[in-house]
Amino acid sequence: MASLPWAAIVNILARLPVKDLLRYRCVSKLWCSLIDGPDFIKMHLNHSMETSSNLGLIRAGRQLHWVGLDTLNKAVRLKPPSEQVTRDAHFGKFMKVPISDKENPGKFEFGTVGFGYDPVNDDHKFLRMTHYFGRDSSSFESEVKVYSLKSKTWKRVGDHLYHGYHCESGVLVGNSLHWMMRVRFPDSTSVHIVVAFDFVTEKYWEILLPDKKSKQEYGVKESWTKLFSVVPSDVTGVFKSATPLAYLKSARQVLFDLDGEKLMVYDLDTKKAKSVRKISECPKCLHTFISVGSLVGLGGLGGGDGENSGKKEGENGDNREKQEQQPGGQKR
Amino acid sequence: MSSSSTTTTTTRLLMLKASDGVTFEVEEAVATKLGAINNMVEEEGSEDLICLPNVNGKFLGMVLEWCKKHANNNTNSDKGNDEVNKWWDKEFVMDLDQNTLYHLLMAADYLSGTELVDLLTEKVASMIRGKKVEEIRETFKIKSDFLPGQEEEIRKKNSWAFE
Repeated sequence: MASLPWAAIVNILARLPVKDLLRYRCVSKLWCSLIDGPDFIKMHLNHSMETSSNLGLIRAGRQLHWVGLDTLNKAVRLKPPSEQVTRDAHFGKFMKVPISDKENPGKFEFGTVGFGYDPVNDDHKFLRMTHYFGRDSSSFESEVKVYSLKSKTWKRVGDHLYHGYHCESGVLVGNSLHWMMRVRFPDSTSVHIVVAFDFVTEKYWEILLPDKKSKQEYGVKESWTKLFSVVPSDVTGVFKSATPLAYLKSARQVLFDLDGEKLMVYDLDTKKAKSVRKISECPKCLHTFISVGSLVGLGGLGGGDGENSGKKEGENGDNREKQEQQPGGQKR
Repeated sequence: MSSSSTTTTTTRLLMLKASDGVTFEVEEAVATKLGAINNMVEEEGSEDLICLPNVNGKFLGMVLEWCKKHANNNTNSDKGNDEVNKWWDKEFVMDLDQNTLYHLLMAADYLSGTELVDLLTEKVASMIRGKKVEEIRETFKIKSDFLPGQEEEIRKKNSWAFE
């Protein structure tokens, strides 16, 4: 392998897991600068996305655990500095995010967060929404802020106009994060809609939802088709709720969470639940998020997060919002 | 190896000559799965003998074997093709040793066999997953050029990756 062309070596390395790459930074100066470089970081992430590799689940209950999607059996405990962390930061680094800048005006407060990529500006963005509910719908207030990893600043964007609750955590499709919401009307009726936040335009938009169905042609109402329905069976055992977590493209399987306790793999070709299992060392969880293991640092592409590059370490202290990182999740 | 003689008579045959003088007679449709040969055929037109001074006969043979399988599987176009190709690819790379893999990758790269390069690259990647830094240096014949203390510094920053 000694005399492989450099381009071939780069292609090989782009297929490795993050943990290996962080170790192989020690191989030589050349390897270190390659792995830290923005082009490689982008190439590695793109490859992971295209091939559905380096995927994992972050399971959040009282603690955070990370489970690799390739094995689905071993949970690793993550130790963030506080409860508010960015989801994408598997193992490596965490970022503290303030819940809100506003003084709570004596209303019920509901917040949700999301993480996505803006390919136009080549920027990873973190979305934070806070809704304040008063006694009636007219007292509804919202505050939506976006943190840019590139510019390392927060920016307030247009308010969230929908008066209602997010049913699940967001699902990222393309450049938009999607939530199912129950929207309440003044006459106390309600309806389910899908609200999307576009990370490029930083605006909300709405998808019409006929029923609990899956979409075919993105964004068009008529294009929804029912793919399958899930009911308890001998294989699955008894469960109250089944939440789809991920579609595994190459295997044509859908991964479900059952009651926050078990994971189920459903095969789209055989139309059968393939395996149902409890993950060892992972207590019951409330939320599960999909994560992609990447080399993208919380300071933006280019390893400029102060941890990897060293030379930029001083710059992080100037941030208006406090940003903290710690070098690693620990194994139990 | 001779799986191709019963197809239509219009199939053109190309002669490929490796660096060690070994020649291969291959159907055009098979050989043009390699980008480099496809270009030569398009540019040079009627030339039937193609010399490949950078590829040894042993590895050219293996590359062409791969091309044949994929060309054949793609002609009978049913849905199971992808599966067959995947299964066959797995078999193809399964027992390759490092030396053969290296020469094959170089040959496939030189001949612009994009899909094959991808397959072999993935194979190399699977072989160097989860290794120690020293093992990687050994495989790629790299000497550490860090100053004393520098390497420890890097190790400390991501100590979890070494657990």
